[in-house]
Amino acid sequence: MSKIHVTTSVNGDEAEFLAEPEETLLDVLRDHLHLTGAKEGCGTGDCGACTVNLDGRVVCSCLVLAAEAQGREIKTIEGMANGEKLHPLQTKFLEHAALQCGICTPGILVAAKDLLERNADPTETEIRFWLAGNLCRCTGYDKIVRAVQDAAAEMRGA
Amino acid sequence: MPPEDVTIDLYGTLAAIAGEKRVVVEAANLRDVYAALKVRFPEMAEHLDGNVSVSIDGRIYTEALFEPVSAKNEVVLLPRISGG
Amino acid sequence: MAFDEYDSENRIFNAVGTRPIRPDGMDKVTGKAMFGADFTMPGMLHGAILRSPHAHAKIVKLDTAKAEALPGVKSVITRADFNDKVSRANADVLENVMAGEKALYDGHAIAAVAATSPLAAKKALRAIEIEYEVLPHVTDVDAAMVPGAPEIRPGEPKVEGYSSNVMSKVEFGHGDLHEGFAAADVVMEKSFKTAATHQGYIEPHAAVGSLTADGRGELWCCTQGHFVARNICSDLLGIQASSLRVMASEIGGGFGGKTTVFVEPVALALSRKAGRPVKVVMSREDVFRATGPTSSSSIDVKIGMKNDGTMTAGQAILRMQGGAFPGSPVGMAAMCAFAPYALDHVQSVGIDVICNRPKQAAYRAPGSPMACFAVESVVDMLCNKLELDPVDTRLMNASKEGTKASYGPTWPRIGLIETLEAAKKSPHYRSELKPGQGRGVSCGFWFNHAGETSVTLALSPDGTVALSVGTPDIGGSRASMCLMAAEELGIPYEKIRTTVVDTASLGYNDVSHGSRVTYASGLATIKAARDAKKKLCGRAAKTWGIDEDAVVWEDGMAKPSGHNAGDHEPLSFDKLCKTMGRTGGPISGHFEATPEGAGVSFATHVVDSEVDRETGATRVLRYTVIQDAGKAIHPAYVEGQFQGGAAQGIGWALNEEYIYGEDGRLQNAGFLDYRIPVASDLPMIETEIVEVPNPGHPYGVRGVGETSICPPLAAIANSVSNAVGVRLTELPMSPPRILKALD
Repeated sequence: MSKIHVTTSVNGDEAEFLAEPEETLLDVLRDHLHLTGAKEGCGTGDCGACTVNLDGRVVCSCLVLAAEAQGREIKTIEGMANGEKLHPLQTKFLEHAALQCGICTPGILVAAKDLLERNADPTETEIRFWLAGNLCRCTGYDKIVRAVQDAAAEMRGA
Repeated sequence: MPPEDVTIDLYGTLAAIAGEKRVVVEAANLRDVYAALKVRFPEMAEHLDGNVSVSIDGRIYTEALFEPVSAKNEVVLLPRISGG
Repeated sequence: MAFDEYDSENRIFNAVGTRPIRPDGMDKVTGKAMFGADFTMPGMLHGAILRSPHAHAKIVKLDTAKAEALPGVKSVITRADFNDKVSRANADVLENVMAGEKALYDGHAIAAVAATSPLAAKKALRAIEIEYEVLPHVTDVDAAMVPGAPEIRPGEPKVEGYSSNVMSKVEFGHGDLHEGFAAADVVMEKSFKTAATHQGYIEPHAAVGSLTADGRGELWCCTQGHFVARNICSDLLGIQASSLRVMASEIGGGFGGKTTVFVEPVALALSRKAGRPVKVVMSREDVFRATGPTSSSSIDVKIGMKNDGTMTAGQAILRMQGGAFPGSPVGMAAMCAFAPYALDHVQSVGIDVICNRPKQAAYRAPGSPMACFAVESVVDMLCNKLELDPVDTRLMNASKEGTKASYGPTWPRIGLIETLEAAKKSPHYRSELKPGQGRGVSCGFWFNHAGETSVTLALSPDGTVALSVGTPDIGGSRASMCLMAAEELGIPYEKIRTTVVDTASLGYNDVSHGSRVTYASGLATIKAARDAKKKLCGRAAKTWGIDEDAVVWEDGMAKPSGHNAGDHEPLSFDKLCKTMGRTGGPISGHFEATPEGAGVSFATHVVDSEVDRETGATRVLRYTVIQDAGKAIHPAYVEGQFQGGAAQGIGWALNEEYIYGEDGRLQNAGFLDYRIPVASDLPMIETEIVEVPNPGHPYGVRGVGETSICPPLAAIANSVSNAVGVRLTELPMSPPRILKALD
């Protein structure tokens, strides 16, 4: 056995695990740390269902090796709400019916949160291009874009 | 309900077996329709046993052996309809 | 009062038609919802499947001994580990789940391994010794039909004049085509082709199975129908259906593709042999190579029209390949082809063909989008030629109550004209196009389905309701069920919890398909609620010492009614629930039957687009969906179905395509090369819900999930063709095809 010992931070908590050299960050989040909110839709970085935030950047966790997480800060969908209080994006996704099956929702929420942290008032086009790496097959994106716009407005206090 | 002479429209495959697009059978419900057709056209059995839908006055039924039919109804046999 | 009255026309709704937050929403926005691959069991092994790299090959040697001997490997299975006496109905399913003597397509499962880790299982696949004798293959529908084509099931031709790959021919229509075309001023004839496309759900198939040697088992899987999965799996494994309990996970999209089984029986067979639970999760590549895409098609359409726009006759010949197994949706395609038009002379012919591709699975209104594409394209060509308005022309010829459908029946009340009139009045249709832009219009039709349905509605002492359904919730249906139960009982939406329960907890349910869930489980919920209300009224009658007939249910309360009932204080739902233990015991309402009365649904779509003549890329500028929902229970999720169907149709029209090489191998088994629409490809999708009630549902519901994918292919083809001034007849209209057409 030649597993790699990794120490990292997940949603603000210290996390430690032993990973095979081939294992991805997504494998570790799901199989070792039991954080199954990030989903594997393709394993090749094309669908965005596994999107997490790594040191302030959104990444496809299926394209990051587990060993690369050493000493870094990971934020997943599980850390988005603050206890009982949902993030405005989460609330707006519910109000706008911006999900049908919900498999892409965690990845889209993580990506959208990062967008709003960089750009408090994105245009429709900016939202669409920012989320172009997150596939949704159910909604046609209409209600997702509207939910992000509405959440942005609320967060700006508009 | 006593059986009546019911007119049945057949879709292509069944019409090819029957040699005509429309047949009349004595029936009080769909089970009677299928039974009468099978007696007259034994080759139809494999289609009629679970592989057809039927339209009665424009409403489509899939599993309804005891649905009543009468001389007044428009009865059309169709291939079984399923969806995604 | 009558507990079974149908008054969808005049009823004033309280809960139905509102837009509350879905009950499963919180779990879905916080990452807690458990999908197929999210489940684990103690002692669980991981499975992997060996797949054929050949499009068509005889399996000459298959030796698993070396793989079995590897460390960590706990079981290896082949076809021999499945039921050799499987029913005729499931024989093709078994052949598709695990190949017998031949591999029939690139990606066909040959063997499977269970090991202590996913990596160990994958490594063990390489130790399986297999030799193939490669056979000639065919993947194109037209090529497969020609006598002399490579034979997938060698034998005598079943339809005269074709190869043995043509499985059947079906025909619909009425009148006299010769007479119809003779009456036309213009007769337009054109041939079309559409590529196979995949449902493209983001969640790959996943299952955890645990089956013991005594034939008892548990299965967790993402499926559109866990009762059907149970029946098929038990047949494939040779065990009793009721000995297998199946739990449906949250499902990450299906669109028809999860109405059958792929990895579920494999997980169970591996588990039985290993004596431990086994999880099998498909990779995206496997999903593309081995699960159901829809058919590719080749279609000829001929329509006659008078100068004033009156259609005199229509004919369609449709050919579809369904992969290596019979059962393409060509029969339904032939039935849908001319459904929007009232024609005196019409014929549609469907030809079912097999070839070396994965077994097709249902995809949203199976068959209808392709047929619609071909017919509606020719209608558009005629409108252009005769300089007629495309909406007015469709209105002039539209099917309506009393006209005869091209597939036989006389239409009951339908809402096609209402959608066309709404399209005509829409701001979109009345807007002006800019130079270089093109507008396309198309109608579309789908039957909708009912199916076997069971529902239990159990009352709790605190005045809340546990509603158990057996139809997996694929797009918010639990919210709709809660709304209908709330409406019927007269209690708040929040007091009802709807759960998709396992196969041991409820009577049989057909799959969530055919746009049936809100119709059939909805009808079942309403009837179960009426059953519960009747029982509640009975308890009130006992309490008051009066006749049951003298009690009515109004505003969430039992009230005395009629002159002999006496003067009693109404008993609320809460109060009756609280005392039910002492007034006769628990109360549940039930429905177990097959509702028959699903209402068909029509739609009209309008789309504007423009084409970059340098790159051949199409930009969809504006899109409007107008569809008859009968009655929208939760309008936000109805709109969602409209928008989602349109988006899938846009992908089908512009980019999505199964591409096979000369070697018969799939060349684009991934989301990078099989490009589904992304957020930046699409505009907002405008919607208008038309409500022409279905008399077969207490509230008038028609299915809405499938019709929305029927018009987009034609609407976009018409829009693009009108933008560039060249008729596009082959889908997808990808940039290379458009550049070729412009050349």
